Amino acid sequence: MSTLLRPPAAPVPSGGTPRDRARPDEAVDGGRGGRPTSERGRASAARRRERRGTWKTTLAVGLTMGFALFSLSPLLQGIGWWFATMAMVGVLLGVSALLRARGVPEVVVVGAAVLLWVAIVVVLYAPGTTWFVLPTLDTVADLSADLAAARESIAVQEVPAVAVPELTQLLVMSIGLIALVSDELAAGLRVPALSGTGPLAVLTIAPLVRRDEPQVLVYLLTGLAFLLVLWTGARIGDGRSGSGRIGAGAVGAGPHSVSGSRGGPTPSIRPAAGGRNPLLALGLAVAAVAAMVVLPTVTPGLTAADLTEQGDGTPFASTYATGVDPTIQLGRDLRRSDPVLSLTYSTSAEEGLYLKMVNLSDFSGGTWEPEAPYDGVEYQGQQFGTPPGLAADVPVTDVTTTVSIAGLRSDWLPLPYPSQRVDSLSGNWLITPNTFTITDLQGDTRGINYEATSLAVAPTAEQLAAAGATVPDDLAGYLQLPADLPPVIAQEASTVTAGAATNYDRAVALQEFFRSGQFRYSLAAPASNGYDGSNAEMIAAFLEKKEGYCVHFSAAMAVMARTLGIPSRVAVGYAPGQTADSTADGRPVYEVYTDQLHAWPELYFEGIGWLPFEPTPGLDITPPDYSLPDYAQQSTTDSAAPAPSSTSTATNSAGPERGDVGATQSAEQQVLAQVRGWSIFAGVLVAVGLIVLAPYAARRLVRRGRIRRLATDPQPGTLAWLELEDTLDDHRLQRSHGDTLADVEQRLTAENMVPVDALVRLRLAAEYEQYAPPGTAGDETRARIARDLVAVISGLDAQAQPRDRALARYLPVSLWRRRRAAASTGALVP
Amino acid sequence: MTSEALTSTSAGPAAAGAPLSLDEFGRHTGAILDNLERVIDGKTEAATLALIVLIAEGHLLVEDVPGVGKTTLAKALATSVGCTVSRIQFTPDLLPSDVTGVSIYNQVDHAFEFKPGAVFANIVIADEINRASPKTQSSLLECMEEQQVSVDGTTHPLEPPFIVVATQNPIEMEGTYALPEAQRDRFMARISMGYPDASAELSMLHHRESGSPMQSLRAVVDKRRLAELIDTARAIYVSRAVESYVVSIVQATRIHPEFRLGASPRGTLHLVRAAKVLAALRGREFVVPDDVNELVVPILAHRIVATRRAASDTRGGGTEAIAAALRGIVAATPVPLNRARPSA
Repeated sequence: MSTLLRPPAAPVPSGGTPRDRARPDEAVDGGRGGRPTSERGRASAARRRERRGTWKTTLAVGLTMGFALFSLSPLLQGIGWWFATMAMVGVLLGVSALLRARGVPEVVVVGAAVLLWVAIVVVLYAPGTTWFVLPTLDTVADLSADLAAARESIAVQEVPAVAVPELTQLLVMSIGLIALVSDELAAGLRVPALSGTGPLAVLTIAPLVRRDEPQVLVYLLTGLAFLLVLWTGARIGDGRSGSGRIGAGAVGAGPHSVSGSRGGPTPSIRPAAGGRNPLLALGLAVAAVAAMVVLPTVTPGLTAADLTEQGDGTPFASTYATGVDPTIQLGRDLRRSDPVLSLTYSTSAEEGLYLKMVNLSDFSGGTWEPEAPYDGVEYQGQQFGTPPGLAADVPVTDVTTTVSIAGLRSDWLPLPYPSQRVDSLSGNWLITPNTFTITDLQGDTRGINYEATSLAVAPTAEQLAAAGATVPDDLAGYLQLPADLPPVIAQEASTVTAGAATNYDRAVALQEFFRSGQFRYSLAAPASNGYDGSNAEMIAAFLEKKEGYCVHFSAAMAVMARTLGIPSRVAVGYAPGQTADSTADGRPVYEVYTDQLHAWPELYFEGIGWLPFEPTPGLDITPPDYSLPDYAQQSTTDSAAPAPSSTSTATNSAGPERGDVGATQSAEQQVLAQVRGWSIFAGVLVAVGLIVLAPYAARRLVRRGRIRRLATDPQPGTLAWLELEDTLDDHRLQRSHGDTLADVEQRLTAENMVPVDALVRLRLAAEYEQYAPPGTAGDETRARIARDLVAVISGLDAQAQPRDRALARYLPVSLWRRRRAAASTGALVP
Repeated sequence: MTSEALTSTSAGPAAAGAPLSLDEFGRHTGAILDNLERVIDGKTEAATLALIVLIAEGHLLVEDVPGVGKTTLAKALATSVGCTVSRIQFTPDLLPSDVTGVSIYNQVDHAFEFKPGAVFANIVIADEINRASPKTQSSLLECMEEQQVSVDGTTHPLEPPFIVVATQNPIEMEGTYALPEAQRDRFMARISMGYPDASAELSMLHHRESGSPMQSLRAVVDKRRLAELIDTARAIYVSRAVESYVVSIVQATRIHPEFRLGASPRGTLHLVRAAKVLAALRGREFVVPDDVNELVVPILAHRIVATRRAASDTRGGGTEAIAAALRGIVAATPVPLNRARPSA
């Protein structure tokens, strides 16, 4: 102790001599009782010091993950999955934190956590597959089987899905890994800003799968928890000597802490220059949240294929890629308030064309599921071949269609059926032989152009009547029905088709049944009554309520056809759209919007092949000629109509119902929708901005109020000093509980950061109020105190680095932290 | 040496003349410090602490290796204030009566007559106090606390100011009786001189060319002035907040895991008294927490017994460990800064 014991009559400390006190390091080691004898022991002790407080960051990471994970609750039933996953996260993070606190090298911490992850996964999900304790190929096979089951479960189930064990396992494994990575980024590598990507990836899943109202509360909580990560992350290692921070604070240290401001070498007041930039991270987080809320409303899309792009960061994101019943997604897209242009095309056909993207062929599980595109053949411009079932004598004409895709994001290419060739296509594409659909599994078709050559099939009435009497064996899959199909469906089908003689007649009768007026088109009814979707129960409910949209009509007709022995499948794609004003090569250009996503049944008749039907009423679509009852009576030489015909027109039909096709909007409505979209965007930005600026404004109000109160407060000096200390806190100039007013003053003056005279006057005024005998007063006037306070604060602001200044302004920690506690008021022991 | 002197200074502030102004206080103490610094170079802190102990009416324990000026400091202090000084070289065969005095049968008067021992002086330098037997040590220690000597049932008061400056050699421990913890508690402060730095040592050589500066030392305050200084320091105000602060610190020493024995209530009193003097030295009429926390180590450290483990960890029998732990306590004890309600 050298110090301030100095010659008399020096009321103002002249500052200066660094205190000659023991290095806290020794004391810390002493406290543990073990003298670190080896280099290793010393290194570990140093690491311990350096990592002081990392457990708080780890805790905050866990909290962030917990909130983010909760955002999945609209997708999954129950809450058990959340607890299971958080238990995994808790164990992993807990062990990491413990090891870090013990001063174990970071590499070992990571290694141990990963090993623990593997161990838990193996023990829980693949027990008995190990060779002694080592995972084997069996283990891997077991786990991947589980994950495949989870993927299938996602594909089969509709939201909210039942959290079957495989799903929970997927969550436990993936979220556990994400938490590990996030924690390592925040607490291990000390880049807490980056650690937000993990929780963010989790947050993005829900809005993309299910586009309903954003879960603002969950976002906010996650955001707050993330701020906590940033905050605690910026404070890791407080108290380590030579950190360059003022006083190397003993914040949070107990009364026995032997570290502390008095121990460090010459204290410095500037925060350490580190690579942390919480503001940048905050900006990123804000942008991400805003994007998350807004993106779903401004980009068109089919299906959750978006997830392959958006869900990055999750190792298993691709399992979501084909997941989620596409028909559900379709309904959601139809309900969008602001349809967006999906694609345009021009065709040599006389009418607009159905553009098919994918077939749902598999109903054996009780839900219409996509035909697996994985068996596909690589497409390199070759001919598709003869369409299945098409006999040589059926009249066909070639049709060329030029498609340019605008906003559609999809795995699948919209094509007329049956296409024969696709030109001008680049990239890797797979063709599915049975359905003539093309996919790239990339999920992004935006901006590509191609030319498709397809056939217009025009069977004669005789051919139709003769067709479909037999079903080839290889089409048996298209007749599969689940064993537990509600009987009402088959009964209804046979009732409707009682008078029909041939399969073709039965199909026509089915379409008539749906279009006869007893069914009503409604986008809202199924969702609000709980039978949205296309599984067996939903179809039964739909037949009873008689309200639904294309998904229900097409699924119901396809299932009913199967009960009658007609091979069927559901096609998903775009309805023909409406002609635009422009033309290309003298042909009209058709515009297709997101709300013209459509589903229709395709029925198979041996000798003709797959024919589309149009059971959905209430839309402005004329069914194909051949599917109308009086087609058979027409002249057999009539070769006019190509398969599906549409009479969509550009700007009419502002009917009460919004249609899959042709329910176009007036220009004004479109503008309105755009305006609404942008105002949502702007509103979200403003709201986020307000939230970000709230602490700044609150801090300004507090300061202004205090300066105003200086004029009347009984203790103006103390008030001014408290405001000064709060400002120091805002600037992250760390102090310890034990710093006296003079200590603070000395450090500020040592760095020449503030006007010294003003600071000394402030200190004296506060000291007089606090410690002088009652009745005596310093010679400070209130006005001068206020002036001095403002001068010191602006001096601090002016001296700070721009980044620190911004941090002080926008994240003023003094708002939620009280640094200086009152001393306990015990009586003096005699 | 007598009752007159006694009544003039000892009975508290009321009996003394008007306390000095702080300016005068500063002038006189400054003169004493100048004197002290003239004989020991570069040891401002030790000199200041000695002065504080003198004015706070405490006793000083100087613990250091031989030859760094322990005795010189004590003698210079005594000379500067114009008091009587006596020096006792403690040895193993020193008897209690050598310290306190002895009653001798006077053949002429046919009565016992008290012959005062070495302790009857204003400033008593007890050199190498740890060399004497415990019995002799405790005879001195009783005088320190009671400010009186009891021999043969008669009580002889000691004339204030009374200050014992004991020195102790920490490295040569063979054949010595270290002061027990309980008795160390009676000293207000323990300081160690430490070696002078190079420049101070050089200037020391320079000064001593023309004989010992001790010779030229003159008293700068008399005994009466000293009493006034003492009264002035006593009148320094200590707020409730600072009292609580002191108590918090002292109580923290009693529950600290590295301490087997914490500071005593006497330590609390000593700390406050010393802080008052330090405040006065700085020209302030009230004590602020800075005054307290700078004195924590010199005033409290020697009263504390470290746990065996803490003591074995560092050199000096735990001295360093204790000081570090005390500094930790100071750093962790919140400095009071209260927003009092106007009504209070």
